[in-house]
Amino acid sequence: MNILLYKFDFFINTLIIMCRNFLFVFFLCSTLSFAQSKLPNVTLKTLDGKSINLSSYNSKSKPVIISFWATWCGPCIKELKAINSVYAKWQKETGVELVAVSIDDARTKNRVKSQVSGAGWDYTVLIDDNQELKRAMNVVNVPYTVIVYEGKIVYSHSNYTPGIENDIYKKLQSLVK
Amino acid sequence: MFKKIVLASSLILTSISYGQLRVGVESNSQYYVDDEKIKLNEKENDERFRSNNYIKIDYTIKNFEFGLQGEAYYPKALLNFNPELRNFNIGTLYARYNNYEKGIDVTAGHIYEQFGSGLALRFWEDRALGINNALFGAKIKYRFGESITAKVLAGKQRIGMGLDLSDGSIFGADLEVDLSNFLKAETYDFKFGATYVGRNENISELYPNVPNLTNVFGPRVEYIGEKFNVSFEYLYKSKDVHVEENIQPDILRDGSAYYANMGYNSGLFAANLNLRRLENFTFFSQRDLQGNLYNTGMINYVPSLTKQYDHSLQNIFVYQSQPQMIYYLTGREKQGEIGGQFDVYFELEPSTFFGGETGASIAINGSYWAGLKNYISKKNIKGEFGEDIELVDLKTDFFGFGTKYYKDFGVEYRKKISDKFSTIFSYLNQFYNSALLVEKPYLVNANTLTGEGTYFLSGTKSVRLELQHQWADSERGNWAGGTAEYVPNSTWSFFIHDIYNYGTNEPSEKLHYYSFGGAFTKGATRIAASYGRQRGGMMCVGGVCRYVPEAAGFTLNLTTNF
Repeated sequence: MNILLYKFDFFINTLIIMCRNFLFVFFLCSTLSFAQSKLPNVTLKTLDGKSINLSSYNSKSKPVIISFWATWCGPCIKELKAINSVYAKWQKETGVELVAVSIDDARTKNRVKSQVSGAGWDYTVLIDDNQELKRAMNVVNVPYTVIVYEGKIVYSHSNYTPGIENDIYKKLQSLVK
Repeated sequence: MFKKIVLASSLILTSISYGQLRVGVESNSQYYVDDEKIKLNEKENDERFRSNNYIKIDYTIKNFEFGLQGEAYYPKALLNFNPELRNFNIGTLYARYNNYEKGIDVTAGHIYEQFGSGLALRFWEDRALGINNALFGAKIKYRFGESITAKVLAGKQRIGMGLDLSDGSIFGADLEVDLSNFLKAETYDFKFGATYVGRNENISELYPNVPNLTNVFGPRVEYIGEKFNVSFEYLYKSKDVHVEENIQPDILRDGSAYYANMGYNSGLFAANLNLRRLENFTFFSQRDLQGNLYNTGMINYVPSLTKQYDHSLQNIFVYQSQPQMIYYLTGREKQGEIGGQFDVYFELEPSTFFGGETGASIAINGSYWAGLKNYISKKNIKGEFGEDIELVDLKTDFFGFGTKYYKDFGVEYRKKISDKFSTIFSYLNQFYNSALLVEKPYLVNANTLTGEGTYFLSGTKSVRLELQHQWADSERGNWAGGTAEYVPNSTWSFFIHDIYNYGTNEPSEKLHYYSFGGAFTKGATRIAASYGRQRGGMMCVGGVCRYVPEAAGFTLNLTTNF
């Protein structure tokens, strides 16, 4: 047991040294790279328990709306309700798909299904209960909405103001024109 | 050598294909002022300007990811954040290989992870609460085909800045099997999982009767059908020393957690029920961190299972889960909690009595939480030097409901009156046992009514008005409050907010907590500024709370990413 623990400490110390070196390399890499905007390689589950990798939406030919929300977020519910009343029309005109990413954690996760079904939302709902996607996309507050088109994030908005759905609709129309 | 290899390989990789760089920035600052009623505590008034800042940089190339989060708490962290968070330093950093097609995901460095619902293990970040309990170590996740996922991890937990790590080491494994894939089920999903988490902290040198290693393990099942879903999780915690103020080497107890969730969804009706029983179920990466104010060193996530409310008066009496044991406070002995919550949602079709012409939605929720019923036996014995020693022994029944901690019942009614005008009304009844939850001498019954209306002026221009009132029979008595918000377009918004504690018997507590401010939002950038007073109390996100002191001043928040 003691040997194991000794090895464990050795492992942690090695990791600390590696990290120091890594910092140097990291900044070097950062300066060489291009900032691009597409969806990250993160896998989340749907309400039915099926896995979806977000990067698969990068290859869709139609626009995709990714909307971060939570059951405890009043403005988020307002936004999704507002879009829901025009969603069928948007889909018909632009072929858009809305992916509602719930950041509810274990405390409120069980409400997600009830909220979605109670409100009659026809969205693809993903569960980000340990905020993996939220963190990968540097989302701080919800609601946070992006439009992805042909593998690029072409629109983002970081709160809900009543009527913003009109802006989103205009953006969708301009994309598929 | 290592540096050279990585440098060379990263140069080669970058020249072959461009990677992707993501940067996120968040800055939260406050300048505290003294107004005629609210003054900054003398211990804190050396720095009136406080700022918490985060920059997170992630670089992805092919299946590799490298990330770093720098944090600066300068000149000091905001009031009542952990004072260990100070200066500028690395918060987290990691390197990861993640190949989705092959099902391999390996991370070294700081790791975020959750097993099951997080009841055994959850490493996460919540900046507003000052929580970042990432594990510094290594994690391997492997998917066997479509149906089996295994995770193993080991490391020490972040408890401060840079590489300040916990004394205890943590190692864990989690297995999840999707049985419906084997059964070729199309219409339902059935999963089985099992978790093990161990914490090893050297304590037996000081206390030879206390084992170094503490184990938490158990199974879970989940069924998701078209209309019904059910899940159940059980965890057992092996015997560990009791910590109350200090380590109490004479008391060694085991612990357990039972958690059940049931849901029914059909068309415009949905319902959900959670039940949970916790007994002695706190779990920290360092024993002496147990019960610390800042949630530092938490391994497991035990949120309070109550609804998280929107309005400020609904958040005065906030329940916090009670997994901990208290032995020595007579009359306040605790061993855990037992209770549940329910939710019902339904849509009212247009042209019905409650639905009116345009339809409406209703959400009803309630919860009841009590302590486990204590069977206390005390006996006095003589110690080895003839001194009197009182031995306390606490026992529980499985279904023993003890002292009531908290109860709530709420109704929310959303109604769109016309295309231009929508409303939300809510009623909330709460019982709050301050004596046992926050050690204040009150049993509070509170009723809160809220109403809000949003009126569209044109396009993205709108106004919102919200009114709230709380009737409380104890503590600070009745409150009234309101908010007005004006949104001229999708870029700007302005608000003014006030809550007034008019019902208190204590003249010095009769205060307006007012604030006003605005926010600017463009793309992924948001800047918000406000001036005003904040009510002291529990600020809770996701059922975990941080105590926020009463204060007055300017606030500036900035978030952006690119």
